[in-house]
Parts: sequence; structure tokens; C-alpha cells
Amino acid sequence: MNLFMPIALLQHGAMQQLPWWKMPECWWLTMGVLLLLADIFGKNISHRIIPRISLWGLCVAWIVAVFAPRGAESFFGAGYIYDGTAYFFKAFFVSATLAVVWMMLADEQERSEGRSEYFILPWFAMSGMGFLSSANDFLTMFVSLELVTITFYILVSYHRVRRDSLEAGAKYLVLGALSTGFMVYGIAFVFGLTGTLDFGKVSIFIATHDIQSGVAFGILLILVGVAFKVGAAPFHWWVPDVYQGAPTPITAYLSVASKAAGFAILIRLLMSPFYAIWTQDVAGLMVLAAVASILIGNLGALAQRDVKRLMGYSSVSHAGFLLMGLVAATDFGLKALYFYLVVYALATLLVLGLVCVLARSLGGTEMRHFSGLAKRNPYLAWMMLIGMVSLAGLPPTGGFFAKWQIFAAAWEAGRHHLVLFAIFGAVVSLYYYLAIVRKMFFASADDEKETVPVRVDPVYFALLSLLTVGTVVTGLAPSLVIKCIQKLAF
Amino acid sequence: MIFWMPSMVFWFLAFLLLGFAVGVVAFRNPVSSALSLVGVMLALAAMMIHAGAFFLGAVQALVYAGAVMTLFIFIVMLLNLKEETGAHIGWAALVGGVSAASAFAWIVYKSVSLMPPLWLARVVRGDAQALGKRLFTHYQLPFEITAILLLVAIVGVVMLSSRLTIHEENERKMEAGGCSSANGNKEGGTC
Amino acid sequence: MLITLQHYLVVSGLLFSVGLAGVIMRRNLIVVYMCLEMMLAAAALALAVFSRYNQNMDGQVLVFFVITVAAAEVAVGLAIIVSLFRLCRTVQTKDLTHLKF
Repeated sequence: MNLFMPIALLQHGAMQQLPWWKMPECWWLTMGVLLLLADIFGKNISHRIIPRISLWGLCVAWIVAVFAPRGAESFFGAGYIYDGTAYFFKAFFVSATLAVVWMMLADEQERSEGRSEYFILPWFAMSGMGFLSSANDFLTMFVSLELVTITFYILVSYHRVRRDSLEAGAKYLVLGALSTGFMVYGIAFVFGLTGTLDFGKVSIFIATHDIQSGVAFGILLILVGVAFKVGAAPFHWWVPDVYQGAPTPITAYLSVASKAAGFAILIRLLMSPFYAIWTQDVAGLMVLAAVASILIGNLGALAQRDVKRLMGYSSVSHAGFLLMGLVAATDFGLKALYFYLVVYALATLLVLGLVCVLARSLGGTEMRHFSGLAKRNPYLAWMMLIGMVSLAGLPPTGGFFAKWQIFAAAWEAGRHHLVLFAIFGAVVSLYYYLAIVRKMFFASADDEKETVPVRVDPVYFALLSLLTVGTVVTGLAPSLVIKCIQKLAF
Repeated sequence: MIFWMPSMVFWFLAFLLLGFAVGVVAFRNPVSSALSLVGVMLALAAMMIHAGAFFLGAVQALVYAGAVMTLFIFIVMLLNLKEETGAHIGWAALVGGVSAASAFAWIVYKSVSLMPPLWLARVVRGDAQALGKRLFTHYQLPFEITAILLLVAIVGVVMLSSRLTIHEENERKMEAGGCSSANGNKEGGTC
Repeated sequence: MLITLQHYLVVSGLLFSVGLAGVIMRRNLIVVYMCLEMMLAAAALALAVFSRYNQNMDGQVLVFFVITVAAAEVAVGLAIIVSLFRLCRTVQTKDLTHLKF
């Protein structure tokens, strides 16, 4: 694949619109609206059937997104691109949403009475992320990003009788709106001095002109806005609080899909508007952000007692590792980034899924609640072990190969110091990932009642098993997974 | 005279705009802040009209000063927020805020002043028509995405503020102990 | 003195900065939210002026979307703040300390 796209964009001359029925998002939105209508008209039974319909619908959407043949030709239209990158990310978002709704179903059955919107809103968030991965101008990017963000505000504060959830919602709201402000201001400057919002035309302007201070300022602000969304270091403050306070399935959704959506934007920006200045100027900023994220994420995680909050800091450090794949701006780097995203998503969903299902039976999400889990339910303890090992990046799991690939890409780009620093960070992360494993296997439970076996709903156990198998397969047969990614995305 | 007039209007509006903006930040009473924000939005609308964006100026005045600010003031009244007692701005926050703001303003000024003077082109007549044409043809897709966005906002607001379900009522009663706000929780949660 | 593009940009930059200062300084969530609206409005002004400078409607179209999105955000944001108030009787940022390690 050729990273630089504007030439392909310009060949098409007059911008056209893809017919709506060829956009998967339109089908997803139709489904979302139908579910909302069903919620209105099926008053008494809706709260029982809508979560299930939502889940089955997502299964169908997943099959279509992953297995439907992709036409060889990419489509470049007004505001909407349908190419390999978009294809990969859409499949990714559907998979993540499927897992998250599955998790919600296990978590929320009885309390969802009269509040089925919880199971419907992910359809809208997913569509927003789909549009985002296909955005071809700053305007579409902005609007679809806002669709995602606003849906997340609502989802984060869903538990409106719990203080944690509302507080997380309020914090996410203020900081999310702040990042929107920065991004719009940046877009204003880039638009004003290049004269266009279209990615292709902006990239040509930047490639053919000396970079003015105003344009540089605009680009910087846009990157700040995106850094907020991916939770990269100088702009990560919201991450721990929001991850801790949000309902656990939403924490998983944020850390997987919302982060991936941020990277989808970064990849779009890399491919066309900022391509000309990426390797010299932007890559330097990426290196700084990556170093800061790895440092702050790992140091912050060391002191945590709450597993959800720990996962928040861990996701900051993973944002740092992911940024390393973008530093290189090569096909290899991108492939490594995609592989890392898949591995990270599987392991994070697994760990947070376990936290979600265990929170009730263990009595909380703090580390101490997990002590002695191996005796109460060895299967779950082993699953948690596999997830943590993958996040830490140890050999038999996918995490090892993902880190390996990303380090290789950054090394090839000549960022040797960055790689050495990242290896150091990965070693530090072993401490806190394995601390919880130690608790589960070697610490005895604090008090007498903690010896009752933990039971899990089989439906939910199936999800956890799938995620575990995925994590193991990415470790045992990475080349197979990379081949799949290659087929989807390039 | 012809050159002099528009610039006087500009300076007047800029003064008004920034004055009200400082008011939003500085007033103790949230109602005063909200009313200053109405002032900001109206001055901004006037400034947009002065810059030649007639239609947007009107929309800005209608949507912001008309609808959004009504919502803000309604909420301030609903929550019955009193004037803040004590220092409403902490020293650390003051230093941080002022330095961040002046750093930002300085960067804007620098990156703007490095450019040669950029003259504004003459005003486009019939901007509403041109805007509509662009909006409904080239930007049709984002336009439809905003429709969904508004739908999501409505659903979200209803979801957040509908009556509590029985399950939630029970949970709230259990949760209430963990709520340790400055004003206590004596009034209960009915609003 | 003729008014150039830069004049407008400096005004919009100042408005943005005042909004930013307010977000950092104020402790009342609703006022913080007002300051955020001010930042978006500053961006809208810059876009509108840039649009005239470029003789290109795209900037104005974007302002249109910014206004719509901001209105939607205000609706959702105030709903969250009101829910928070109903539960905890506070809209002060200093009371938002429940989440910590």
C-alpha cells in the first residue's frame, strides 16, 4: 500500500458520494433507530428483548464486517473514504462493540428495566467511529468524533445513582469539551491558512509550501485534541478517573474502541494531510508523547490499588507503545500498530471482562478483592493470568510479538533511544501486572467467607473463553493474525 | 471617514466582547456569569456580521444567546446556585490559569504576527444561499451525521433525567451514605 | 488603521485564552462549562473570518456544525451536571474527589 494518498484522491476529480447502502454505518444507524423505536412501542417486554436483539444484531454486523468480501477498489469520495484502513477499523470497532454489549448483558440484566438505551447507544457510538475511520475532510472528522464523544458522555454517566459514574461523567465531559475546543481551534487555523478542509488538498498545500507558523500552530492543536482522545501522556489526566468511575463495560469500550478511534484519526492524518511533515516534525512530537506516556503510565500504575484505575494507567502506557508504531510512518510500522491494537484489545477486554463479572461476587474492584481467586475459581484465575501476561508482553502470548514488532519498527526508523526506553518501561510494567497474579495465586483470602467458589453465567464464560483463545492464538500463531490483518487492511 | 468607521466598530465590539468574557470568569454569582456569556455571544454575533458572515451572525445570536443561554440560566435557577462564598478562585488556580492563558495568547499572537498583513477580501453577498448550497451538496454526509448526533443527545438527556427505576431507587438509598458533599445530603435527592 | 485578518485572529485568540483561564480557575462546574462554550465560540469567530479571507464557504459551514455540536453538548452536559447535583447536592469541582486510588 502506498501511504501517501492525495494523488489517488485527486485522480477522481469531481467528488462523488458513495450510495448510502454501501456504507456499513448507515445499516448500523438504521438498526439503532429501529431498536429505539422498539423500545418506545414495546413498553413491557422491551427491556428483556432489546439487549438480546442488540447482541444478535451485532453478531450479524460482525460477520458482515469481517467476512464480507472487500472490493479490490478503494473509494474516495466527498468526505468519505472506503479503503483498507477504513475496512480494518470498521471490523475492529464492530468486534469491540460486540464484546462490550455482551459484557453489558451479563452485568446489567436486572437493572436495565426501563433503560434499554444502554444497549442501543453503542450502535451509535460504533457508527460514529466507523465514519471517523472513513473521514476524508476535517469537517466529517470533527462531526463524527463528536458523535462518538457525546455518546460516551452518556454511557460513562449511565449509573446515575452512583456517585462514581456521575463524577467520571462530569470529568470526561469537561476534559472532552476542552479537547474539542483545542481541536476546532486547530482546524480553524489549518483551514484558514491552507484554504481548504479536504485532507487531500491540505496535504498538497503542505507538501508544496513552506510551513508557516500559523499552520504549524493549527497542526499542533489538532494533535493535542487527538492526544486527549487516545489518552497519551501530557493529556492523560482524565483517563484514570474516568476509567475507574465508568461502568466496567464502558471502561472496556473506552480503553479499546475510543482509543482505537483516536488512532484511526492519527493514521488518516498521517496518510494524507500531514504526510509531508510527518517524519521530520510530527514524529518528534510523537516520540516525546510516547516517552511521556510510557513513563507516566507505568509509574502511575505502580501505586494503584483499584484494578480499573490500574487499567487506566496501563492504557496510558499502551498508548505510548502504540504511538511508537506511528513514529516510523512505514507500512511495517502500521502493520505493527494494527497487530498491537488487536492484541491489546483482546487482553484488555479479557481483563476488564473478568473484573466486570467478578466485581459483584468478590465485592469490589480493588486488588485485595482478588486474593485467593485461584482457589475459588481456577479457570477465571488462569484467564486473568493470560490477560495480564499478554498486557505485560511476555512470550507465550500475543503481547510479546506485538511489542516485538512495534519495537522493531521504531528501531528501523532509527529511534534507538526510544526503543531502549520502551523496553525499560515494559520491564517496569511486569511488576504491577504480575502483582495481581501473585495476589490471585499465592495470597490467601483476607477473611473466612472468601472461600466460596465463584460461579459465572455460561453465556459470559463463553465470551471470556473466546477472548482467552484469541489472546493465546495471537501468541502462538502471530503470522496467521498478521496475514489476516494484511488481507483486511492493505 | 470610510476607512475610519468600520475600524471604530471593530474596536468597540472587541472591547465589549473581551470585557464580557472577563466578566464570565470573574463574577462570583453564576447568574452574572451566565448573563455576561449572553453578552459575549451577542457581541460575537455582531462581530461575525461585521466580518461579513451575516447569516452565521444571526444563527449565533438565535441559537446561542437565544436557546443555549436560556438553558444555562434555567439550570442555574433550577439548581438555585447561590453566590459563591469565600474565595471563588484559588491562588494556585489563579496563577495556573493566568499563565496558561497568557502562554496561549502569546503563541497565537506570535504565530499571527509572523504573517504579512492579510487583507480581507470583499464580503460575499448572499452568504446564506452559498452556505446552504455547500451544506446540502458537498457536506451532505456530515449534515446527516449531525442529525444522528442530535438524536443521541435527546436520547441521552431523557435517559439521564427520566424518573429513577425501582432498582435505582433502592440503589440510591444504599449509595446515599457514600455521598459526602460540602452541603451534606440532608435534603435528599429529590430535585 | 484598516482591520486585517490578524486583528480578528488576535481577538479570537484572546477570547479563547480567557475561556481557557476560566476552565482552569473556576470551581463551579456550570461556570466551567460556560467557559468551554466561550472557547468554542472563539474558534467559530476565527473560522468565520478565515472563511471570508479565503473566499470559501467551507469555514462558515464548519461554524454551522460547531454551533450545532456545541448545543448538543450543552444539553447532554447540563443533564449530567443536574444528575450529579440531584445525587450529591454539589456542582463544585473541589467536591469531585470520590475517585482516587
